[in-house]
Amino acid sequence: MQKDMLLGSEAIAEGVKLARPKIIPAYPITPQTHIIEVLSEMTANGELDATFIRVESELSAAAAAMGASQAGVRTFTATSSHGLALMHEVLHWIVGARLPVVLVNANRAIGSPWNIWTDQTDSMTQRDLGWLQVYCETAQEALDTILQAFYIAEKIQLPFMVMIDGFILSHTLEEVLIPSQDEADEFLPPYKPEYFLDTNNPMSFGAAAKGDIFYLLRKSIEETMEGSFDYIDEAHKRFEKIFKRRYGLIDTYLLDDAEIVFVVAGALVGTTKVAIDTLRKNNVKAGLLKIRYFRPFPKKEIVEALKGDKKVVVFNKAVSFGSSGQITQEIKEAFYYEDKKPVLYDYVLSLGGKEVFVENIVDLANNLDNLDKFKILWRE
Amino acid sequence: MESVEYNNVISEEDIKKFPISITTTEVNLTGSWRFSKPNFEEKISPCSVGCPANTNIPKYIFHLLKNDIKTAANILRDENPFPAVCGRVCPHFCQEKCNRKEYDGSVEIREIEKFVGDYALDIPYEKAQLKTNKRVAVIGGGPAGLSCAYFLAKNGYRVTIYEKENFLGGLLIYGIPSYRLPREIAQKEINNIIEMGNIEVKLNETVTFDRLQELKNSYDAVFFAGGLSKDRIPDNIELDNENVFSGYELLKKLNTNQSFAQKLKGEKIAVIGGGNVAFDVARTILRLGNEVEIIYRRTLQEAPSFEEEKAEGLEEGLKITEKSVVIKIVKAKKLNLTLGKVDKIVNKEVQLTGETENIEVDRLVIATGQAKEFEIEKDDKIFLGGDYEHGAKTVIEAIASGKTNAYKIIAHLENKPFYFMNEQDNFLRSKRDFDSYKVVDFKKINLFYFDKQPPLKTDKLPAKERIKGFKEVALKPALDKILNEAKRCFSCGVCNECKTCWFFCPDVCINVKDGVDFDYTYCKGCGLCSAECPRGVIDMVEDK
Repeated sequence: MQKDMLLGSEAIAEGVKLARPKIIPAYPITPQTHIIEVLSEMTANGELDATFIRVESELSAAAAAMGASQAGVRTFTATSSHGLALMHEVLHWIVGARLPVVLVNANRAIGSPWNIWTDQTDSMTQRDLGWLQVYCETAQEALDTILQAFYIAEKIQLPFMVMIDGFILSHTLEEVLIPSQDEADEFLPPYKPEYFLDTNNPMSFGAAAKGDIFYLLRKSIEETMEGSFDYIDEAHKRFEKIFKRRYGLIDTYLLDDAEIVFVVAGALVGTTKVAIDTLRKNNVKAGLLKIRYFRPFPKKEIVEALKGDKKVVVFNKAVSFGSSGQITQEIKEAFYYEDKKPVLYDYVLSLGGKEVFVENIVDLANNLDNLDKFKILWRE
Repeated sequence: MESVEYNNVISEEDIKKFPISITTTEVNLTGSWRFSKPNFEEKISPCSVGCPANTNIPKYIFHLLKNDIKTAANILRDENPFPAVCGRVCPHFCQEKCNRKEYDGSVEIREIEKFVGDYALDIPYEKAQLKTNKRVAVIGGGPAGLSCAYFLAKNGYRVTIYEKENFLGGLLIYGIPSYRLPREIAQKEINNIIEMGNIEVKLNETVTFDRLQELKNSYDAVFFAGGLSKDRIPDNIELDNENVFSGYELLKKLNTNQSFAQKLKGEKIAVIGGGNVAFDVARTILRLGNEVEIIYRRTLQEAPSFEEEKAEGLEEGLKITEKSVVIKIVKAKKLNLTLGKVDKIVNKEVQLTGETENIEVDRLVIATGQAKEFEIEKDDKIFLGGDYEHGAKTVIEAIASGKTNAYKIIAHLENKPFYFMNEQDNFLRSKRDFDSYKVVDFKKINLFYFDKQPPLKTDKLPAKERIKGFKEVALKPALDKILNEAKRCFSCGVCNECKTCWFFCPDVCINVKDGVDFDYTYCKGCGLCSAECPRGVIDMVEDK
């Protein structure tokens, strides 16, 4: 273990290096570029024994990742915003082919108009693919999640998307504990897939399938998602044992006695924690629920955390136009069969990098009773 | 539409999770999806069209690059029995047509031909078989006559060559100086032809007009390639073969009489003319230690000699007086020439400005062209060829003329159409539909596969060294340079088994061996092979 001051992007690159991928096909896009810049340097100077493939677009990056993973090697790529959208078709294929590719998405708005700043529209609109999704709060969490992502993805044969907020996490220095290679190797064994492209054992992959077979394959993906909680839990325990850091599907802050709960995903968690401290000083019982895993969505844990007489404000950094914020939708759905439901406020707090300050959250908590819980809430 | 039944895939249990099957995809006969299909068709490269002898240049280069130089040599000699000669003296019309010219400069085909030709010098031809009793007389043992004899003998005819000198080769031996074409090279190629068999040689046999009529009666056909043996001399000049020579006469005398060369040393000699002969004569006597001046009635730029000859001559120190004619010669101890300045030339009539200049020289050489000795009409037995037929042209055109006439004679004697020959004899002419044959142009080349690389530059002996003797001017490039140059060849329209089509075929239905085979059971007709082919040998055609 070694302590260093790193940018979020650099922390992720360190995490990827420790995971020893063999192929990294990637295309640059702000604010993700630092990640693959560092990785390309690592591969060039021999620090990382991998092939870095320079491709001509994100679609090709995804296609190359798919091919590499199908050939049976650990594969990593990173992208953001428009790049993730361009990958979309192949992202579907990777799920259907059951390939454990790990992808980092630096959350950034999607145009028009042009905007390079952070919101979660890019990854929220990819939620139905069948990729696991984790939103990270800190650089440390991002690094750790990379190792967990490979571990879990390879266990369940589904791809894994790790989210960091563009700039807020990617471009900010933070103190990070970097595991040693031995520790990482102890946690993450080499990847040995059951089926892969092999001239000595010829097989066809992804050839045409009729409806009955196709249907079974899709059902199996859902069953795997539902069963993945056990593997995630096992991964977290294993991680804690080796690295002494505990992770869960969700996280909480001063939640138990809270009357007002903010539900947050991503780096906004930190700001919200400071706002909660301020509110607590003024005797407002505020608390926080951090959504770490968005896919699979941990309904049980969330219902358990939000039970009781609470007002719940969901901070969305994306919106499903004509419906509501995606995180709000998911939480509402989780409570459908519960007798006792919290009062839920559907807040679209920030898009395209609109700044969120501590006082914004404090003011919001103080005015909660004036808000309309039947519609999407927007800031002034 | 009902999709194909998957009878042989692994059990449902196994494929519930992974979309895989352990059978091949052969059950899926994707060929049924096709509405157009790839068709392998080799085409003609523009260089082959440019070459008067229609040499299949990409094909021999392909074999050279496959390390099979012997096959390369055979392909070359199938069309032209003088590759080593042509590698030196041919102006390479092929290079003018080369598709690479538009890209980064024509392939230096000449150097490749010279390399393969030199290699072939020591490979004798297969012995020619006699296939008919018919006999053909060839008059003139120059490149046209030898070429005609070669193609006739190869096809089983008995040939007799009548040569007026006491050696074969004509211009190759006494006309082109050895610094351009070493004697032994030309001699070896001539020997190879004769040693093939079926050819009888009669030296010192001058065929006059009357003798020709006799030969016509005793042979089934006569090929007359007597060349242009009469000197064309300006009216105001008389040859004396002592001080005033014709170009060929001087070259022949220098070749056969060593003491004459010694006698000439240190003199000042003027040469009249602007063709290759004028430059050959001038550069030869320059090498014997003489001061040489070329007098030409037009500008140097207009002179019909090869550009290379002009440039090399100037490097060697030739003096050139442009736009001048000799209007008066006074023979005293030396020759006093009065030169008139040319104003313009209208319909070959020289108009003078009136300006004059006097120069004094020891000797004068006239190289202003050659003419026919006597007129012959062609008829059903007499075929005309070489310079005699088409006027003064290049060696390769003489060779091509000999070849064409050989096939005309064969067609005539066997009552067949002209385009009948088997592939070995002429790959271009052997195609029945000769005229409609497709030539691959620059647009058909997939440039993605070719990095720009300038052509090979041949090193030459420095001018100072050259004029000391008769060493060959052009130096031989190293083998790796030749092979690098050969690799520049686009191989337009000729498959060189690069396997690009095989690599791209998504249905794994291409086999590349002696051409390209398609497995139409699986070919979906996607057209990738055709689009990617660097050299245009795969076309997509409608498939009903």
